[in-house]
Amino acid sequence: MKFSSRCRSILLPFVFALVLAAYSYLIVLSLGSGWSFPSLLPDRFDYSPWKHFWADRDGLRIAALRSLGISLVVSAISTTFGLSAARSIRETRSRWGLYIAYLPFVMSPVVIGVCLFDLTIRLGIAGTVFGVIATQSMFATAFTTVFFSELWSPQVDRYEQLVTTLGGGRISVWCHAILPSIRGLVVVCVIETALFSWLDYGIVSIIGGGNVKSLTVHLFAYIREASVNQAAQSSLVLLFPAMVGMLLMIGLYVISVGQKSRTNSRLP
Amino acid sequence: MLVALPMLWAVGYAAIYSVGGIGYFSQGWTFEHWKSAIAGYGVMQSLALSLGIAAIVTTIVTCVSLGVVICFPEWRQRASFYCLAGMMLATPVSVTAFMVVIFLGSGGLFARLLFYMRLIESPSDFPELIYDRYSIGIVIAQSISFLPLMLFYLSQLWQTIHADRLLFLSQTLGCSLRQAKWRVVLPTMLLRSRSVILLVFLFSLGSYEVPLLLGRQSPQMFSVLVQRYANRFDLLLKPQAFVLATVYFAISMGLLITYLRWRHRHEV
Repeated sequence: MKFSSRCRSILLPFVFALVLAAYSYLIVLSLGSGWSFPSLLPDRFDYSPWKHFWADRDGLRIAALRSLGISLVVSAISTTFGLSAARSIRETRSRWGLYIAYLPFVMSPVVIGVCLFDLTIRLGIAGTVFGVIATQSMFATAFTTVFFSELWSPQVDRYEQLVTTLGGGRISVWCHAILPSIRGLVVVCVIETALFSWLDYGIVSIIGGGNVKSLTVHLFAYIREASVNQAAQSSLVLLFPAMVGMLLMIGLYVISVGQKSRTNSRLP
Repeated sequence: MLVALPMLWAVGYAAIYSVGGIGYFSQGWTFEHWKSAIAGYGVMQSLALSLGIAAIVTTIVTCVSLGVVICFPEWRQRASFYCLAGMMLATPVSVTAFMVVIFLGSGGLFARLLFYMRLIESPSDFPELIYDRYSIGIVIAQSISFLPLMLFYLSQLWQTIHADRLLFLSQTLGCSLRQAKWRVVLPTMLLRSRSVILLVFLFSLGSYEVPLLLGRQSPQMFSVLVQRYANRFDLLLKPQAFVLATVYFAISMGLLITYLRWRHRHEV
C-alpha cells in the first residue's frame, strides 16, 4: 500500500521530467552538427545551426520575421471580425451561423485550401503573402467566432443593456460594456490565433505555392532533407513563442481565478 | 461572410469538379470520376486508412485521458500537471512529428539506446515504427498531440459533474471505491464527453502534417492524398482529388451536425 502511494506520488514528477528531457534533447541536437549512429550526442558541438540562423544564410531570420508579421495581422483581423460575428450569432441565436463557423474549425485546412486555390488564382492572390493572410484569416475568424460565441457571458449582455438604457451609443457600448468585460478573452484569442498562423504549414504551402517561405516551410524542408540539427533548431524557434503564449494564457487564467476568489471573499 | 462565402465556394467547387461541371479537361457532366475513384485503389484505401487511424487515435486518447483523470484525481490540484499538459498543447504537431522521428525512427534515440544495451546490432534491427505499414508513428504522434486537449477537458468535466460528490454518494450507497470510479464516474464522464470525443475524431481525420511526415507513400490519409492528386502533373487525375474532398466534406459535415446536437442536448 505504501509502495503504491509512493509510486503515485512520484509518477507525475517522473512523467514531467521525461517530457522535459525530450525537449532538452532537442536543444542538445540543435547545438551541434551531425548525429551519426550510434552516437547519442551530435558529432561536433559547433553551434552551426544557430550560427546559420543568426547569419541568415538560409533566410531563416527573414522567414521568422515574415511568419511573425503574418501571424500578427491574422490575429488582428480574425479577432475583430470574430468578435462581431459571435455577437450577432448570440443575438440572433442562429444555429446555421454557428454551424458555418464550426465548419472550418473542424475541417482540414489543407483540403479546403486545395478547393480554394482556384479562387485565389482568379483573385490574383495565389502565391502571395496577402493570399496566405486572407486564407488563414478565414480559419482564424471561424475559430474566434466559435470561441467568443461559446464563452460569451450573459453578464456582458446585461452591461450592454445598462449602457444603452443610460443613453450610450454604439461606440459607448463597445468601450464601456463589451470590451472591458471580455478583455481577458480577447487577449487569449489574440494569442491563440497568432499561434495558429505561426504554426500553420498546410495553408502556407498550398496557397503560398512555395513563394511564401515561412518558418514552418523551412522546418519541413530540413526534416525532409534529414538535416536533424537544423530541424531541431527550427523546432525550437517554432516552439519558443508557442510556449511563451501558453505561459501567458496560464498566467492570465491564474490571475482571473485569483480575482474571482478575492471578489467572492469580499461578498457577505 | 469572411467564413461562409469561401466555405460555400470550397464545398461547391469540390462537388461540381468531381462530377465534371468544371475543369480544364472536363468533357461535361459525368459520374465517371466517382466510379473510377470507387473502383480504384487509392481513394478507397485512403478512406479506410483515415477513418481507421482517426478511430484508433480517438480511442487511445479517450482511454488514456479517462484513465489519468479517474485514477489520479489528485493531479488536478497540481500545477505541474497543468504545466505538462500546457507544454504538450503548445507543441506544434510538426514538432511532435519530428520528435517521434528522432526518438522512434530506425536511427533514432531509442534504437541507439537498444544498441548500447546490445539488444540490436544495427538500425535495421529496430522495429519499423515510422513510415510503417500499420501507421504506428502517425498514431503515436497524433495521440500525443490530442491528449492534452482531452486531459484539460476531462479535468474541467470532473468539477462540472461534481465527480467527488458522485464518488462519495456511491460509496455511501454501498459501492467500493473501484466500483464507484468505474461503474458510476466513468460512464457519466464518457456520456458527457462524447461531443469532445467526436471533435478529436474530426481533428484527427483532417490532420495533414503528421501523416505527411510520418506516413508511407501509399496508402495516404485524406488531406495528404487530396493535396497530392490536386498537384500532380497528370491533370486528368485532378477530379479524383475533388471526389475525395467531397467525401471528406460529407463525412465532416455529417459528424459536425451530430456534434452540435449532442452539445445542444447537454446545454438543455
